Amino acid sequence: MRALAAGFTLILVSGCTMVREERGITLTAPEQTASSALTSHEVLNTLGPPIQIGALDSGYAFLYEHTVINERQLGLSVNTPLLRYFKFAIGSAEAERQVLILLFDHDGRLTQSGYREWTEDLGRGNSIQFIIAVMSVVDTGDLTESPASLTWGGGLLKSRLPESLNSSNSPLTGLSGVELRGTPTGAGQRTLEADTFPVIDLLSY
Amino acid sequence: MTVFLILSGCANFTTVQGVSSPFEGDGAIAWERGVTTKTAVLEALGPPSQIIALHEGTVLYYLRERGAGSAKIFILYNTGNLEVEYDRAVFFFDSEGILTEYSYSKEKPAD
Repeated sequence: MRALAAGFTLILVSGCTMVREERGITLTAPEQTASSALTSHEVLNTLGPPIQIGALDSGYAFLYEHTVINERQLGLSVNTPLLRYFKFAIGSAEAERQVLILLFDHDGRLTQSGYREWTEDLGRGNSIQFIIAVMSVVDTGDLTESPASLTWGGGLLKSRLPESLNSSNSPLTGLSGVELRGTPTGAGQRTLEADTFPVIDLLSY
Repeated sequence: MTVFLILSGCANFTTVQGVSSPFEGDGAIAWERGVTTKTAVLEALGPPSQIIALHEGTVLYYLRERGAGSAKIFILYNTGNLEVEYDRAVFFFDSEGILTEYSYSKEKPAD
């Protein structure tokens, strides 16, 4: 019992941390827009420009996305002279996501649409941090990248050969559809860019 | 307790990435569908973030990413917050380079 009490006094709960990140376009009445809009003109008037535009064989697509990431952390520290200035942070995160996709024909008439909102578990993580640090311990990088439009020119000149060779099929260029944040490259039209082909990867060096 | 008070603090930061073209609220130029040319838009706004080739025409897409973050550190309770908004302007042109459609984002740009 005495050992247990000593353990409790040695390990201190050093605090909890909340990390929140919000990105994207706040969607107002997306379901009504998806069901009632007839043309790209009406959609642009109602929702403004999308976050991604992609050409399709049958026309073009608009993608609207809104993501809110909430991460909760618990910090533990050990009450010894040096270690009390560090904490062991354990965290978990989830994302509230809204996605609206609209497909138009070559004349700008809406042909198909889809809207979904959901909460996604982003997993757990832990790290050792300085006790006054506020930083994420869960890898949310695939949901927090800047839109490809900001790096469009450079996106056509990727240093990795598989990505350059596949640029005409990549939805990030706007020439071949659109892509949701967080989509892995191991499947779909970016399969050839995946890191699972070490022989091809060697050719890029 | 004294250590907690000394180590407490807060931080704020902002980030901006993308083109600096005028977006709605910055004094956006009035364009005329069926009249304005692609050349006129490019001369007024400069190079876009992205050019998209459609079956019959071109899209010029202007994007500016604005992030505003803050952190509050009280040792026992800490928060971090980051909000990223996107100013957007999009222009559709036909195969002759004449403006057919355009739109600006609705969000309020940064001061």
